[in-house]
Order: sequence, then structure tokens, then C-alpha cells
Amino acid sequence: MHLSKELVAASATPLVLSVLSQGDSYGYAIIKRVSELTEGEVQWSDGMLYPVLHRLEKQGHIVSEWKKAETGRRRKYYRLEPGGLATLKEEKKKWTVLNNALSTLWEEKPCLI
Amino acid sequence: MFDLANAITNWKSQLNINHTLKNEDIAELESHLVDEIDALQIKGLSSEESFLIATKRLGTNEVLAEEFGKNNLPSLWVHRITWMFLGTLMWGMATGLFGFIHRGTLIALQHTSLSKAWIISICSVAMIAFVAGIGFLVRGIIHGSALNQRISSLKRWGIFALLLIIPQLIGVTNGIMIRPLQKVIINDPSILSAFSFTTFIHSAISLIIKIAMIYFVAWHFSKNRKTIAV
Repeated sequence: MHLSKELVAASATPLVLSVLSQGDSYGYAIIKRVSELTEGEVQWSDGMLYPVLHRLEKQGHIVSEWKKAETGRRRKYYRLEPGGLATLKEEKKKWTVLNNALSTLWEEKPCLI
Repeated sequence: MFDLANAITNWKSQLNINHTLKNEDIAELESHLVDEIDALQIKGLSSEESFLIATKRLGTNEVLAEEFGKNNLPSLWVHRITWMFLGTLMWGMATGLFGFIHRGTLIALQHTSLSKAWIISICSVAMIAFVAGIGFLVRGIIHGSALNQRISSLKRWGIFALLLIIPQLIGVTNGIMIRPLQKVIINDPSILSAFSFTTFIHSAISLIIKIAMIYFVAWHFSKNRKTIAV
């Protein structure tokens, strides 16, 4: 399934913030988690995630830190900030509204008789 | 034999096509790439296959440059303005040299026993050869875009300083040449017809280059409008 650039851009913020709300993580793991949850149906170009992360960091929603990973290599970890948690709550409301609206519309069976 | 470390180094050196990626961004992307390669190798792929798939998944250099460019716009513009400034200096130098070659060959050939037609031909050929040489140089710079990354910062400042000084020297030389040129004309007024002919060629070539440059800039901007108007 191919998602348009606009849809990817719109859903990236709630997806990233939600993944980070479950614990600190790094870019590669965040992408793997998203692709796992969508059963590989949503294909992001992996590199597109990083500008999203950097923008969220600039906005103060998340903070980053270079740490040594278990592999011995350095990795940049991201952590959710209180401001990010508030944004996530807002996003949750918006997406729930949209989700409910679409679900209701799609569940309605047209009366044919 | 495929050398993974070498392939990653090459990939990194070609990543920053727009100069919008900071060193830290490149390090982060590299860490992602290595993680992906590791995961693919565990699945049984060779290091070459893993490298190819991992780089493909990460996105093309153009996509990465565009996406990172949205965040690092100031650094993109610092880079662009530096090149605009350099371009202006180089333009000054090239036009100065062009005039130098035109007047220089005329004055030099005047002392020979060549006919006017020969003088005009040699002078024109010298001018066209000069422009063609500059053209090949520019083409080489554009095609070997990795070139400017290989130039160390010290060398870059050296080139910058030379570009500031050389056009001034050429300007002074061209100014000094006005006297000999006047003398040549006074001694033999018939050279004036040759001079006006070569001046016509000089202006025509300059005009063609200016139109070509305007066309190129317009084409470039319309092609990249999406990237620029972020």
C-alpha cells in the first residue's frame, strides 16, 4: 500500500510520539516498530523519519542523546518530554474524532429495499 | 570482493549533495544503515545485498537532501549565497581574462607581418578557445560535484583569496593595455577595422553566454521550484 506524502507527514507525528511514549528509542527501532504495527503495509522511506524527529526535537516535544548501544556503536536515542506528551494527547483527540467519523460512515449499511 | 566499509564511506561522501545535512545527521543515518545491514545479514543476505537493500530503503540522496533541507534551510542558504558570491567573482575574472586575450592578441599580432584577416582570425580563435576552455572547466566542476567536497577548507580559503585578488590584477593589466592599444591605432589606423570586428565577436560571445546563463538559471529554478519553495 502506498501512502501519499501528505498522509505520511500527517501521521508521522502521532506515530513517533506514541512509540516514544512506550519508552526511549532510536530511529531504526521506531521505523521497525511502525512497520510491525502496520504489518509492513505502510512503507516510509526510512530516511524521511529523521527530519520528522529533528523537527519534533526543535519544537521541544522530544530530546535526543548519543549513547553507546549494546553493539558497541553509538546511537542517537530520543526521549519524550512533558510537552510532547501534551501534544500526543491533543493528537489522540484529533485522530479519534477522524477515526470515529470514518468508522461510522463505513459501518452504515445502505437500505436497498 | 565487496568491501562494506568502503561502500559505506563512499555512500556517506555522496550523501550531502545539497549541503543540508549536518555531520551529526550523516552519523545518525550511518548508524541506521549499519543496523539495517546487520539485520539483513542475520537473515542470510550477503554484505553486498544487505548494503544495496539498506541504502534503497533509506531513500535516494535526492529525497534525503530534500527532506533534511526543510529543516536545515539556513545552512542551505549560507551555502547558496557563498556560491553566488564565488560565482560573481569568477564571472568578473572570466570576463576580465576574455578582454585581456582579445586586446593582448591584437597588440601582439600587430607587431607581426600578418594580414588583417589573419589577425582577426587568430584573435577570434583565441577568444573562442578561451570560452570553450572555461566551458569544459565548468562542465568538469558540475559533473565532478564530489570535487568541492574533497577540497580542504584551507584550500577553499586559498581559492577564495585568489579569486578576490586575480580579477583586480587582470583589471589593472587591462587598464594598462589601453595605452599600447591606442599607440597601435595611432601608428596604423587601418587596425581599427580589425579591432571593431573582433570587438563585435567579443560582444556577441558575451551576449550568447549571458543569455545561456539566464536560460540555465530559469530552467534550474523551475526544475527545483518544489525544493526551493519549502
